[in-house]
Amino acid sequence: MSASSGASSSFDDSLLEGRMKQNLAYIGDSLGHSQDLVARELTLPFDIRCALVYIDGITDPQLLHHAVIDSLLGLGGSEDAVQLSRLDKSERLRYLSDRVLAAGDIHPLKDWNSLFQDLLSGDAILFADECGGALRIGVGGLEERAVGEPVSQSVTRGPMEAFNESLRTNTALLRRKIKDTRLRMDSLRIGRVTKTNVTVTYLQGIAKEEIVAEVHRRLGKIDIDGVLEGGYIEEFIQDQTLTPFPTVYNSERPDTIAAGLLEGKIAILVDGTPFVLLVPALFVEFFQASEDYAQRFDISTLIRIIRYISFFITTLAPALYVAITTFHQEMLPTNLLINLAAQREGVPFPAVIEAILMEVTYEILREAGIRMPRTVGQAVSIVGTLVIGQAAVQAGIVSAAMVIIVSITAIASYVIPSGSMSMSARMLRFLFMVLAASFGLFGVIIGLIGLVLHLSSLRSFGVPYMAPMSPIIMSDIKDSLFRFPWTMMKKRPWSTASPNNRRREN
Amino acid sequence: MKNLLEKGRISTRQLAILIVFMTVGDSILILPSLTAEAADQNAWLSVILGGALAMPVLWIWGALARFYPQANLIEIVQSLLGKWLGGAVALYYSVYFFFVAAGLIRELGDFFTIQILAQTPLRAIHLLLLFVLAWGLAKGLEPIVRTGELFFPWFLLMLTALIVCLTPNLRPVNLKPFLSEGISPVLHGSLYVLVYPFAELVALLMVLPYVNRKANTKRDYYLAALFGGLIMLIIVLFSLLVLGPFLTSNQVYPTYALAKKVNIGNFLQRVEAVVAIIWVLSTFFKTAIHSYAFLLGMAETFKLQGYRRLIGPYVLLQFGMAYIITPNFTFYTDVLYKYWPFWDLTNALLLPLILLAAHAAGRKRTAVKA
Amino acid sequence: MIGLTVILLCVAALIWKTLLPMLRRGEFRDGVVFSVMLAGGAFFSFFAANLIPFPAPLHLLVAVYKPFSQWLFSAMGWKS
Repeated sequence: MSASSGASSSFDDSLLEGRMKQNLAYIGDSLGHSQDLVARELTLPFDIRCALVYIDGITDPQLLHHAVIDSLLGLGGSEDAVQLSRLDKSERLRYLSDRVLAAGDIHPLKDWNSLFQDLLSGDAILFADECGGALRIGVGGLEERAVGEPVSQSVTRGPMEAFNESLRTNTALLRRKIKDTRLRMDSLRIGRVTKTNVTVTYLQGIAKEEIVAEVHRRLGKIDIDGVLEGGYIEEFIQDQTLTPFPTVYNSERPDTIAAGLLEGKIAILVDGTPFVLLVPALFVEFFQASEDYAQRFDISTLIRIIRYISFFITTLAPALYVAITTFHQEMLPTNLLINLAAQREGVPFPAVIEAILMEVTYEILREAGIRMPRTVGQAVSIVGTLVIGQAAVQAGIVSAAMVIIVSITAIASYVIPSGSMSMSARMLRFLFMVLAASFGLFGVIIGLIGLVLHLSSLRSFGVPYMAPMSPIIMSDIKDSLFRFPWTMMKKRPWSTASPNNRRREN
Repeated sequence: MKNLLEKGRISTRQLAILIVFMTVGDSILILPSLTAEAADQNAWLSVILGGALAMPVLWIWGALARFYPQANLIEIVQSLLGKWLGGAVALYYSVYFFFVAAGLIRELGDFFTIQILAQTPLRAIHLLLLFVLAWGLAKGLEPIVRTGELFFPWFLLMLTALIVCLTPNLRPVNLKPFLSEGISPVLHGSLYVLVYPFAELVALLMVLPYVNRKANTKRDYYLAALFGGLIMLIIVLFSLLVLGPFLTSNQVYPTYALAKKVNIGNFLQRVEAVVAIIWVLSTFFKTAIHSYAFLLGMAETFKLQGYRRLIGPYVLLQFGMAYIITPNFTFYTDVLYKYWPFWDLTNALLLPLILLAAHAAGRKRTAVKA
Repeated sequence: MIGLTVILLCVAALIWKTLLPMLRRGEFRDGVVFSVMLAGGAFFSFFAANLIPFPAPLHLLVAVYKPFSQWLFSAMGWKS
């Protein structure tokens, strides 16, 4: 048995023989005698020798001491100890796991691969001298962040809890929302080096079988060294990478994910990140927020419409400004036109350069705001908005109207509930500005046609991206542009739910 | 005869939307002046008559589609007329679609360079349009149709808004005298209505096999065409009512002049550039379908592996052809007035009738043999 | 001059990306059709790019339908 090294460690799958000392030495060698590797040798009554191996830090010390070491050392001269000594040596571990150890999650191990996987995941391994195999005792417990508020998706009404980095906590949060037997959790490990735990969650019988199978298939094909965030996986499983639009939805809110599961979607939880993926994802879903359902339907409908309008504003406003002021000045009411002309008198740049300059400046400010240490953050926002904007206008570099346009554009981009979608809008904005500068409104409309063509050809796990607007599915429109009252939304979405799709009866 | 080149499927609703877009197509730009030139103040009657005359033509196509539900036009031609004659006719049809598309591109380009973007070179407009056209064709038939579905409500909305905003400017006196010169001018005008909105729909025969047939497909087919005709009627009617017959026939783009007349409260005015969006949309879809018909036709005629590979050469061809198809706008309008309708009729009426006859003859022959 | 260069570049790009793989796969008929169309496209685009007049194909159309058109217009008494 030699310790191997390399990008993907593999071990011989030999049965663990009962040579405790050799096993311990092998483990130590493989892990490079790492300082956090602890090997605790114990001597049980009647000279039965065992060893407990674990990695300090990722195990829960309480559990380890009370459930394992305590129960082992507390054998004393009891009945169990006597029984143990009389048993055949190869039966010892089984006896210990059946009768002695007070831990909840115990499995026998037969090969090195799973042993190392479990050891490195925070489980304790118990060897018994001259007894083949080993026991894996689940005592994992790493310090984790408490369940807190969502960072990126806040609401005015609705639950305020968010996923955190621990996979187990996240699955627990979902279980709390959906207490149905049909909730399935399939787990995988992805990433050759990181061996990240990934759980695929769905409601059996409600999610479409083909899509579940497809998700598994795509996840299985991922071949990468490490998965540190859901985003890594997202890129691998999406239908098309060459698009500015997201086809996989992500959220750190359990209620959003649970709602998606209820509609027949599939959630992918990745250990180490609070952002959970949801597939398939359609265009309209990036404009929905969980509070739409928590509030009354008329308010929600109006707010949804505002979101769509905001999307158009944030994508097209600078382009329209450029187009109108450059090519179609006649469209403005005369008074406004005179004002604008007066403003632009002193500005040295054509409208499009002005627009691009301001938009790029804004993007720079925005990125800086994200990376800025908190203490300085306030200063930047004040500097950015008031000073630069105002000063630029007074210096005659840009016109005041441009500053207004850029501000509205920026604010509108935050109305979109999903960060991924507003990213797309940011990118498209520049394309439209260029088109508007060259061809005026004609360029804008051609750009729109091209954009809609692109959107119409996208699919998310086989489902047309623009459903339910095209192909029109009347029953789903009630929840896309509008939010009809619950009494009128009787069916689960066509795109994701399998044939059993009545929401209200079973 | 399952077609291997096109795997997409269209729903009946999408077909209906496509028909409306294609009927309005470029007719919204050119039809009012053509019909007014022919029939003066009675041009609106031409639209009604032309629409009525178009129904039998649509029926003929429907019959062909019924006898050969899974074959597109080229396939029907090839199966009925044999290898060599069929191949020649198939090529002929493909070329026809090509020229219609070239004309459409040129019309749109001319419109924009004359009316709105006067300083932009014609070829630049063509290039941009061709680019997005190629983009759409590369995506395939389904995305194009879905795009139409998505734009349709906005298209209708803008049309309705235009019409509503024009109502203060209507002057019914412009419609008199009624039939002062008899029915002949009305018949003349109806010729243009028959061909430009309706007969040029023949390209749809390349798309019909890919429609998911339901019970209401047939009904919706006619209804959609009628709806498109209704839109044209309103447009021509309003042109006459607002601008008067003289201006309508002499203006290059009467509908654009119509849009200029919109003036609500001295605030909502000079919105004609926005209204130009309507023409771009309808012309785009008509051009897209004709381009698609051409590409698919070429692929079918020569039994190629696919049509997408031909998009590149097609763009080059159209870039050139849209420019040389006519040396100037006047010549083009003249051709539209005197010669093109007959070419349309040959392809939309005469040839399909011949095909139907061939089909009937083929049936009789097998009946006799049996 | 610049037009010609651009056209040649496009032609070259198309040949590289589309024609060569086609030929490699042995689809010769496709290749022929493609080449003919490409040649035609390059030819016409040259005229378009350099704004050189070229006899309009519509003249052919006129020639074919002129007799019928003239007869119909005069027979029906239509304005010309």
